[in-house]
Amino acid sequence: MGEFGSRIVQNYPYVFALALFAIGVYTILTHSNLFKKVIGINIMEGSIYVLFIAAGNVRGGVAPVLDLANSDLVYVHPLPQALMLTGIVVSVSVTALSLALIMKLYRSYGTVDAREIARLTRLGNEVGADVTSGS
Amino acid sequence: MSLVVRDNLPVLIVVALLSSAYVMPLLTKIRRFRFAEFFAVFMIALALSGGIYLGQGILNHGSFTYAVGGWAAPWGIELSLDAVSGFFLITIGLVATPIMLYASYDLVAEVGSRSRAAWFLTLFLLLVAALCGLAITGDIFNIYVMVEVATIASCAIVSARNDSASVAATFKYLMLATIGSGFVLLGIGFLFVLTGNLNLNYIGQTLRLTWQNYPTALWVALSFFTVGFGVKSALFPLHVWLPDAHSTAISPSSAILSSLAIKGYIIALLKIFYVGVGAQIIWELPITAILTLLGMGAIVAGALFALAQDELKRRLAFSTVSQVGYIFLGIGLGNIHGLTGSFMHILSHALTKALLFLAAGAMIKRTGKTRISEMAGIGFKMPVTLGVFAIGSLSMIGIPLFSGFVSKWQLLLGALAKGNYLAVLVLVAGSLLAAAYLLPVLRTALFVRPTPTPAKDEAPSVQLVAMVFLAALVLVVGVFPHQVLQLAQKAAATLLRWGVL
Repeated sequence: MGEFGSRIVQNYPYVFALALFAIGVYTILTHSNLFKKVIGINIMEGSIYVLFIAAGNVRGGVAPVLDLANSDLVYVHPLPQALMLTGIVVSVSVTALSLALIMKLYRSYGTVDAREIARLTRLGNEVGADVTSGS
Repeated sequence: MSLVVRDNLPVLIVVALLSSAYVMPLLTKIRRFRFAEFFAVFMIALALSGGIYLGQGILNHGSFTYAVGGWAAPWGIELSLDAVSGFFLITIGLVATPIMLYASYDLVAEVGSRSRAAWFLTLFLLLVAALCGLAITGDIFNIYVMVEVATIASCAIVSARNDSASVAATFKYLMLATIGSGFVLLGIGFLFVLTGNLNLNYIGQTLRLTWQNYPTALWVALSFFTVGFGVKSALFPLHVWLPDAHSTAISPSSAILSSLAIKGYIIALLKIFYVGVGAQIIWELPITAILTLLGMGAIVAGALFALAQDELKRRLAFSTVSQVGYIFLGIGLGNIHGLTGSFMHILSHALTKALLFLAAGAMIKRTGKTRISEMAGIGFKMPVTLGVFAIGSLSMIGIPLFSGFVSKWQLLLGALAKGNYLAVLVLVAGSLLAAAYLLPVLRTALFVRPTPTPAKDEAPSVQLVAMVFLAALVLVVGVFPHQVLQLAQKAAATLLRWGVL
C-alpha cells in the first residue's frame, strides 16, 4: 500500500464522513419525494457530526470529566462534542420546519412529490396569467 | 447605568433584538397590535443608533474586541468590532428601519391574521438580530449559529402569507440553504481540525505559520466556504432558489431578503477569508480568480435572466442575482478599490433594492397588477411611488449622483488597477443591461398615457415616508459619499491588513 493509501486508512473517519456527506447531498438533490429530501438533510448533518467527533477523539481517551485523583488520564477533546450539540439542535429545528412545510404543501397540492408540485405551480401561474390578461 | 450600556453595547444590540423578537407575540396579546409594530420599529431604530454610535467610535478610535461573558479570547466568544462590523451594522439599521415602517402599515391584511402578523414581527427581528450578530462576531462557530438563525428566519419569512406558491418556494429555499449550511459547517470543521481554534484571529495566526504543510486541506475548506456561502448569497450558478423565494414573498419580506439577508452571508465569507485565512494565503490560492469569474458570470447571466421576466418582482429578484455578482467581483479583485467597491455595493444595493421592492409592492398593492406589460400609465396614478422607483432604477444602473455610481466607480478603479480589462468590460456591460431591464418599466409606467388618465391614488403616507427616506439616502450617498466611502475604505483596509501582519 502506498503512502496515499496508508493516509486514507489512518484517517478513515474523515473519509467516511465525506462519503456520507456526499450521499446526503445526493439524496437531497436527486429525490423528488419531499420526505426523502428531509432524510437526506439528516444524513448530511449526521456526517458532519462524525467529522467533528472524530476530530476531537483521542485514541485511548476517556470522557472529559476531570478526575483529580488520577492525573495520568488522557481525555478526549470536549469542545467538538459541545459544538455538535448545537449542530444537533440546529438540524432538529431545520427538520421540524421542513416537516411543517411538507404538511402545508400536502394540504394545498395533495402530493409530496417535488416535480408534481412544480408542475402544479407552473400550471397555476399560467391560469392566473390567462385570467388577468382576459379581464 | 449608561456606562454599563456603553461598555456592553455590541452584545446588547443583538440581545435586545433577540429578546424583543420573542416578546412580540405576547405583546400583541396584551397590547394593541399597533403598539407591537411601533415597538419593533423602535427596536430596530435603536439598533441603528447603536450601530452608528459604534461606527463613529471605530472610525475615531480604531477597532476593539469584546469578550462575551468576560471569557477571554481563545476560550470565550470574542466579538471583534472593526470598520467591517461598523459599516454593516449601519447598513442593516438604515435599511431595516424603513422596511419595518413600511410593513407596519397593513401587515395584518398582508399576512392574513393578527397572530401571523405577530410571528412575522418575531421573524423580522430575529433576522435583523442574526445579521447584526454576523456583523460583529469574531468566532467561527458563532458565525455558523448566526448563519443558521438567519437562514431559518429568512426561510420562514418567505412564507409569511401562507399561500401555496410561497410555501413551495420556501421549501426549495430551505433545502438548498441547508445544503449551504452543511458545506459551511464542514469548512468550519476543516479549519478547526487544521488549527485547533474557533477564534478567527487565532485561526489566522496559526494558519499563517503552518498552512504550507497542508495546502490541499485548506483549499478544500475554502471551496466548501465558497460553495456554502455561494448558495446562501445566490452566487450565479447556485442562485436557483432566489427568484422563486424573493418574488413570491410579501414585499417587505422580499425587500429585507434581497437587500440584507444575502449580504450577511457575504460579510461572513469576507471575515472567514480575510480575517480567518488572511489576504496573503488567499492570493496564493486560485480562489480569487474563481470568485472573479463567478462574479462576472453572475453579472451578465443575472441581467440576461432579468431581461426575460415580465413579472416585476421576478425581474427585480433576478436583478439581485446580477448585483450580487458585482460584490463577488470586488472580492475577487481583492485590492483596496475592489473591496471598497464591494462594501459600497453592499450598502448601495441594500438601499436601492429595498427601495425598488417596496415601490413595486406599493404599485402591485394599489393596482393588483404584477406584470410590467400591464403597468401602462401607472406613473400618472402614483407619481411619488414611481418617482422613488425611478431614483432606485437610476442608482441600480449606476448613473452619477446616485449611490450605485459610487460603488461601481470603485469597482471599475479596482479592475483597472488589477489590469483586468475583461472585468471592466463586464462592469460596463452590466450597467447597460441594468438599463435595459429597468428603463422599460419606467417607460411603460411614465410615458404610456392611458385613456382616460387615471385619478391619483397614491400609496399610504407611512409607506411613502419609508420609500422617500430610502430614496433620500440613495441620493445622499450618491452626492456626498465622503463619510460612507471613508468607512468602506477603512473596512477594506482592515481586511487587507490581516494578511500582512
